[in-house]
Amino acid sequence: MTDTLISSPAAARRRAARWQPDARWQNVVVTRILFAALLLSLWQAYSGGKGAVIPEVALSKPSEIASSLGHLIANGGIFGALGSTLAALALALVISIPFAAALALLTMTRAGEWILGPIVTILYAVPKVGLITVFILMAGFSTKTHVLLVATTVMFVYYYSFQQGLRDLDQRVVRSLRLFGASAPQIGYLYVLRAIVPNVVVATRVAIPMAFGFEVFAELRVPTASGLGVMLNQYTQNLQPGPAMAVLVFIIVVACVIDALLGYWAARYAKSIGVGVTR
Amino acid sequence: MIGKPRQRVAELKRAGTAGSPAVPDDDGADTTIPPAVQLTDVSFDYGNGVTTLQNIDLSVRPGEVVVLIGPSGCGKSTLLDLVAGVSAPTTGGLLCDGVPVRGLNKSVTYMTQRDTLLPWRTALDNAALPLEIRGVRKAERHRRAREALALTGLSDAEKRRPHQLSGGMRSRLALARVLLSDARIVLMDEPFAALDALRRVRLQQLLLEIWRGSQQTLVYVTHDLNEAIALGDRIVLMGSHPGRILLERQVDIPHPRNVARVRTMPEAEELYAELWSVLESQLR
Repeated sequence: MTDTLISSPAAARRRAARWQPDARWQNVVVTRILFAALLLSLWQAYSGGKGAVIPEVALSKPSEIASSLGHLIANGGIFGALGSTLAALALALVISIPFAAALALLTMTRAGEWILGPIVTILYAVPKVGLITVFILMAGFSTKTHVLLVATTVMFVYYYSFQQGLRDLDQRVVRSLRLFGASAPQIGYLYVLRAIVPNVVVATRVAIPMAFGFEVFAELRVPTASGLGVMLNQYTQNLQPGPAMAVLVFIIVVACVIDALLGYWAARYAKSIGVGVTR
Repeated sequence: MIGKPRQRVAELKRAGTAGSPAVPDDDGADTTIPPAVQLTDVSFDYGNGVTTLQNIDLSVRPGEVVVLIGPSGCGKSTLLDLVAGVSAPTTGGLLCDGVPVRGLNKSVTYMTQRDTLLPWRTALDNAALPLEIRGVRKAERHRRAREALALTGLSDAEKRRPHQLSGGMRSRLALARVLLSDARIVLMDEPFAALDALRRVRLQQLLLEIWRGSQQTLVYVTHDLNEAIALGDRIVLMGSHPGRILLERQVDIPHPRNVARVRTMPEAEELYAELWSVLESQLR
């Protein structure tokens, strides 16, 4: 019993090696922290007051931003706004992904490519931000307008990814499955759905941060009841740079967290199927 | 490496190919059973005016191992594509088990140099794929897939995914999957060409051991004369421009064969010399 609990010296060395931080990495982290601290100190020193280099009306002091952020977090208001933004984003994804998949399947057929191909290309070329007025006319000053804008934008990311995934299908695998006796639905279920997952992963990695940015932008342009963009807009309109900057910092942090989580997920998926693994 | 493969393959096949016609073990032709593959005056071109195959007459008996050999571009792989129904002959007749081939030929399975394993599936699930397609229950298909993996020496790797296997292991896994298919005809297009010499010899030996106990007909394409002599019951030598059959020779080396030693046998040396002289004239 005791023997099983005591690890071998070799295992202990391996564990120690695994947990020992890389000295070069430590230097990078320390340098970055020091640089950020220097920037914040300069910002703190030269903003506000008479004859300040950085006008306080545009850019608050870091201490005031931190204080505002603490206040927003403490009263929970910012999390409610985040919830609204993420809900609109999720709805846009739920609408756009099946639509993109269906469109990609349709344009894989010759007739679909002939009829829909040019329309998709033209719509993709249209600046989506320019469509916001059309969406307001269609859906009014409501969350629906945000959802329309975000869905239209990310739909193309998913559409081109699905289309590429379908084009990249290995015809030898399809042929081999057919020779094993697989029907078309079986080929779809056993192979196609799984084979396009890497494309969906990459598309999601791009689409979600993009959708988040577009949702905040839509909330700024078309203010509704709540949302991070709405909150940012309100503080800016009221000339409250401290809370406005705090919301902006919060948006940046959320965007970074989303990106890091998606990056971790994509890396784990790639590892599970051996992409980037050398033997 | 593996024990009693012939008996174990026969058991595996009995479980998987009920209803398959009985095939005599000897080389004597049974007139009551149609050839597994019969090509009659088959020609093929890709529509570009260049004849890829011309006037091919070939008959493969059920259970026979026929090796196609010839220089690059002589149409060996095209011939396999025709048998698989991937392409249709431009002229001539093609029958499998006495039935004309129209569309994809469901009585064959194909194994190529680049395997078609699914990267997200474990070795066990990859091997069991043909059974899953046929709707075999999970417990049953896993039991039979484990047997096939044991036969190909992959018992310890059943939970690994293809990227966690070496080239030789991947080939053995593809072989296990072929074993579990209910195809009566197996087409192999240089399946071991990408492997190093040692692994190739080991897999050739494994293939021989498995196929001697199997009822499947094997049509095997290679560039390697030694491989052709070691594996084949019959060798068909093809020439190029246009692709045609130049020579057919029975391999009179008794089974069981030791792949590593076959090449030193006088019969093999004699056959090698004869085939090489014809092949050499093609390469000039």
